[in-house]
Amino acid sequence: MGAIRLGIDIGGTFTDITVLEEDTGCVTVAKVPSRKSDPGGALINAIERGLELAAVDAGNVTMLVHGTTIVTNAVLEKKLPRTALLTTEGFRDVLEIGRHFRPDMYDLMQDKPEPVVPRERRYCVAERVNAEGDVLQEPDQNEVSGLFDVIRDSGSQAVAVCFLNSFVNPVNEALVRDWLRQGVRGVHVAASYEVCREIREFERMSTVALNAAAMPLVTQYLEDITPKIKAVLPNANILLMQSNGGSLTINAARDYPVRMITSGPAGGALAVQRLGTATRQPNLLGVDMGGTSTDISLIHKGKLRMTTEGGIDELPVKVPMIEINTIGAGAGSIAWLDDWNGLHVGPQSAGADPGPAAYRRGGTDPTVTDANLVLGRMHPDRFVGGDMTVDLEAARTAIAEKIAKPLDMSVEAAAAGIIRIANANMERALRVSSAEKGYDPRDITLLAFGGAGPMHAAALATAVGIPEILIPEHPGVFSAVGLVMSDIRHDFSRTRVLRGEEISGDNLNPLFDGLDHEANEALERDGIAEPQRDLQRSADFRYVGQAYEVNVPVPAGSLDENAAADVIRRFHELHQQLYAHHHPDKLVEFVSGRVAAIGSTSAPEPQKHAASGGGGVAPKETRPVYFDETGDYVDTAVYDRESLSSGSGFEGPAIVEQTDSTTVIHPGQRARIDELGNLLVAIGE
Amino acid sequence: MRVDPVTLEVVNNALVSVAEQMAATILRTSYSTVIREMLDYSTAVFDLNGRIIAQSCRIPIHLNSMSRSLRTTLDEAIPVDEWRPGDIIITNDPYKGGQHLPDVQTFLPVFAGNELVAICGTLGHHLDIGGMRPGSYAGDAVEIFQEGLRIPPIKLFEEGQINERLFAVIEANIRQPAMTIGDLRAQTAALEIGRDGVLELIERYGVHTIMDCLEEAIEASEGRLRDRLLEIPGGTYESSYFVDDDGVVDEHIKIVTKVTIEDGTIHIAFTGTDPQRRSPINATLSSCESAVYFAILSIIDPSIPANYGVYKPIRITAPEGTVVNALPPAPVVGRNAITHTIVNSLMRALSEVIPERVTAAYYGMSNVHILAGDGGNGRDSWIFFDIEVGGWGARKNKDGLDCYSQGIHNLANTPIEMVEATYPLRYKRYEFIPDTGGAGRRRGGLGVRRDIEFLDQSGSLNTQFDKFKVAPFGLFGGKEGATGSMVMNPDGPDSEELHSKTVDYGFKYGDVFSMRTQGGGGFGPPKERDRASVERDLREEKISAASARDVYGLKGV
Repeated sequence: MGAIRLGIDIGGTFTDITVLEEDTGCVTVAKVPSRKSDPGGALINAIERGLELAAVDAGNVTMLVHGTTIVTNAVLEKKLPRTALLTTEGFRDVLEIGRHFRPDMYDLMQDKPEPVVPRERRYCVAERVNAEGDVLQEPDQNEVSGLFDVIRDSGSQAVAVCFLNSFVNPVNEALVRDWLRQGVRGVHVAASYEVCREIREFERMSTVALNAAAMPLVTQYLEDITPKIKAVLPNANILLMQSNGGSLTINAARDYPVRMITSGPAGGALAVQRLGTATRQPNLLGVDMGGTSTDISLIHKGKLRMTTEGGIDELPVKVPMIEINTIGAGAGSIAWLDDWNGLHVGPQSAGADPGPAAYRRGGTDPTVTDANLVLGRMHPDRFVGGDMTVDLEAARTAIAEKIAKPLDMSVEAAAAGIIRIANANMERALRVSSAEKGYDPRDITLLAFGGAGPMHAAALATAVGIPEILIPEHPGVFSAVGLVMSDIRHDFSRTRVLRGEEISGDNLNPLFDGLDHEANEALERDGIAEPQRDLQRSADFRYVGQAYEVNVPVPAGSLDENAAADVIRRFHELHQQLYAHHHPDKLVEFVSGRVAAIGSTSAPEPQKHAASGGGGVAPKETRPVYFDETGDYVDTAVYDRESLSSGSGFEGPAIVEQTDSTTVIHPGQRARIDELGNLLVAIGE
Repeated sequence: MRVDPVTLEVVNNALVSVAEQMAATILRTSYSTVIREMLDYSTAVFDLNGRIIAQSCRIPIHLNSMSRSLRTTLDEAIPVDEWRPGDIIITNDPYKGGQHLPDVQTFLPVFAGNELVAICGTLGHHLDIGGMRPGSYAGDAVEIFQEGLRIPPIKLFEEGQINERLFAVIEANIRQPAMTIGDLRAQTAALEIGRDGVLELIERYGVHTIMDCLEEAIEASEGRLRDRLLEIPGGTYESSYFVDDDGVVDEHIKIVTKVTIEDGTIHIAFTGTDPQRRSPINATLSSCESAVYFAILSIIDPSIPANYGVYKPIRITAPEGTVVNALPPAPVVGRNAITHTIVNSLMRALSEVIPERVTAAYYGMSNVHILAGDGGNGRDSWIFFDIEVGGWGARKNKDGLDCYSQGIHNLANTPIEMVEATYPLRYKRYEFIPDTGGAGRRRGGLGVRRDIEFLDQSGSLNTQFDKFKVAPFGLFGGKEGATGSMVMNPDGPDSEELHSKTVDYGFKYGDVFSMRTQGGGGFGPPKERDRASVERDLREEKISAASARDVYGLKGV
């Protein structure tokens, strides 16, 4: 038996497991309930369950990739460990002042985001570096030593250090970090330049404060789970999923936990990219629709789009992450009427608890799930594979009482309206991620996953003008599939402003060589051999005077005049594509160079299925389902996903049921199963 | 109902996303820090009557301003039958619906085939529009002619052809033409993005459905506001409040707000307000209206969508020739001293009847400061424009927020590292000032101190601050917030207090300009503040030990 990879994604409600056999490419998936009080125990249970289902030997597991929401949840629930912050004298409140722009213009009762470190634990150090990187004042070791007791007495488990202009010259920050590490034992220390070497003090400070605060948490968690994992998987290399779609070693995860802040959705986006590579579809929109929200990612020419402008809970996090557009529309989104009978869906969600009205767990508000039930798209007895029964009448009653009666509509029309509004909310987000960024929807495949994605995908694709949707074999646990496909990844950046003719090989080569060097060092530490390394360069450019940059790919190796000119030409093109105008005669500014250090784990291609010989397949039943385009219930064939083999095809209207999801195929659309077991639906004009 | 509720919700949301997409284009591609960091711009889509269909408005004072400018343009300058495909119209005239000269508005007609169906608009605050002082904030102007270039509604592009002569006139009259022209380009690019978005929606839903949705939305907003007003006990509620001075004559300027609520309408009368000034502390009617609309909407019900409908139950009486309805040729660049004061005065007036929905006075001024350098030694001349905020007024059940945008503006600060990388300036301090929040059962928000060192050889400082003399008031026994101040070289032997409206102060190398912004007023008697909050404030050094002991009565300090 060959090597085995495990992916374990622990979410709030469920833990998803993926088992990948490297030599065959065979994938087995499972879902178990999460246990909040004992995540380590639940993790071991998940491992054992996965191994048992796939009938593989624990000794053959060489790699375990773990996606965890431990950092995300601690931030959202405001349960981060007590943390201190050291900053330049005179700038104690930068973290709390923020950008002082209020997101809600009118609300007089609003609050502002709580700073990660409150004022009582923000301390100042007399030091200064100017914008050119000259040290104007060195920190005084006596002054910093005087803070050791203060920090200890404050009960802080971590300290963040963030000085002005440290992104240009980090020498002062590094000094103080080292003094702290020696002077305050047992307390975690993070310097901003190591976590996020970028301009804009508040955003960098927010990033390093979150990083420091997460360090004790992640360290403790890893100390808890590592021996437990080693006991069952003695030969496994343990990796953690990050927001940038790559994985981290345990050591790196301890130092840079903020990189894991959106690792859940990142696993999904990565799975989209990998599946697209396997099916030779270079342009994809990934739509991951869960209970409370929908995550949208774009793959263009086989590449994921990255951003450094992400954040969490109104706090900026300036580390590279996969660009994922998250909107508050999910299966649990609540439909409601305002006091003038305007109909809205979300952003409030019934979540898993109390859940939709049909769950009968105390929720009386109608949700998107209730609407899908009323329209016959979901079967009330086959919820989550029949593990759970829901009450269709409760769903009808909720929609009738709260929406249909006040609006004087039929229950069906109200339910169809709820779906239309929910779809329109998602559709706008899809446009933001595609057409508005200059990508033609006609060249894109919509890949839908998450429990609810396949139910809405066909309608969404129609609305946006996408010709084809793809539903993977296991849409409900697809994000966990991404985990076992991940490579190790580190991102490095260096800010150096160069204008016009300064953007030359002479200036760029040393900068990129330095970044390459750092990248190689990091991969060396991870034990990645040279042939497995891939260093991907890029650079941020803008027109002189602009504040936002456009990231442009940069070729490897020594850059000559032509190569530099090519990169600048590409910047003009991208600016045109993104913003519908460009200025070839305007002075261009290079701001930052970036290198992504990838350590390939050589994930195998997905396994091909034996074709069944094609042709038709028999539905397991027929039931009435309501479609917007027919305006009424239509007798609709219902297929069992497991009974559909590669090569088979059928016409809509149809419903495809499987344990983790339900796919809706509209009248006139044609579905088939490809050789990898994916369900493909062609959207008619 | 003209359209079903589902279509209504879908179309309205789609229209807002068009306006937001326009806004994103401006943000991403603009050049001056005023727009790209401070976010001083707005975008909207209008019907042919100049009514807003959808907007992405980040700045309350921009509310309705574009709509009034567009309506004036259509009525007085370029009637609707003279708009052609490919035209872009520009204006910044405060006396044609605008507010002050730096706000440049552009409009583009959207044609579906041969039919004009909608108009897209953008508004951006430009770094400089000429006039006596860098940044076009001339505190010593006595007529609008001194404040900069005034552009009546005129075609910047005619059927796709750029009006080179107009561009040449603009370039010749402003200080930083490259930046201003770059920002204008960002505005016109956004208009084209908006046009494409509107056309796509029209293709999908049809013009009539979209217009029906507009009428429905207007009716809903109007109806909701009337319902809210009916719930408030009818009557007349009056308050007045003051601007420090006009920067020239040392006397307070009085603003009177008499609010009458009856039968689902609200009437605001400014009768008794002081006459307009021979200085830029004047608001045109457009500015005054925006301030009133913002205040009423945010106090009465912030969840009602701000469209034409909410303006209908609101009636304004603003006598001509007063500071709230100045007549030409009064200069107007300092309008926000007036508009912030209007908002605070309306809060106090309505506190009598709906105390749970208002705040005590907030810091009360945009605190504009413009630092300019003369350049030389191979360096170009430069202008740096920024604002600063102070403390929120306390609420009945919540403290005021510390150093956070409130009221008529909503601006982000410019990152210190971005400023230092761009201009010869160095920040020395950016910190809360303890005890500046008005004491109360709920404490007012703190003001902030910000010190900037000037590192060019020579240059100038112009400012528009206020509430250095008239403090932000507290409510129901809450204390006043601290007044603001500005000091040149605060830590040196030759430190010097500056006037809130400083004109052309001459900088020399190494000067340190220190501003201290206003705190918000408190709410309720300080002695009633719960002990845990007083102790936390003390621990965080947001109040002093003396204040904890003497004002709040905390024992054992």
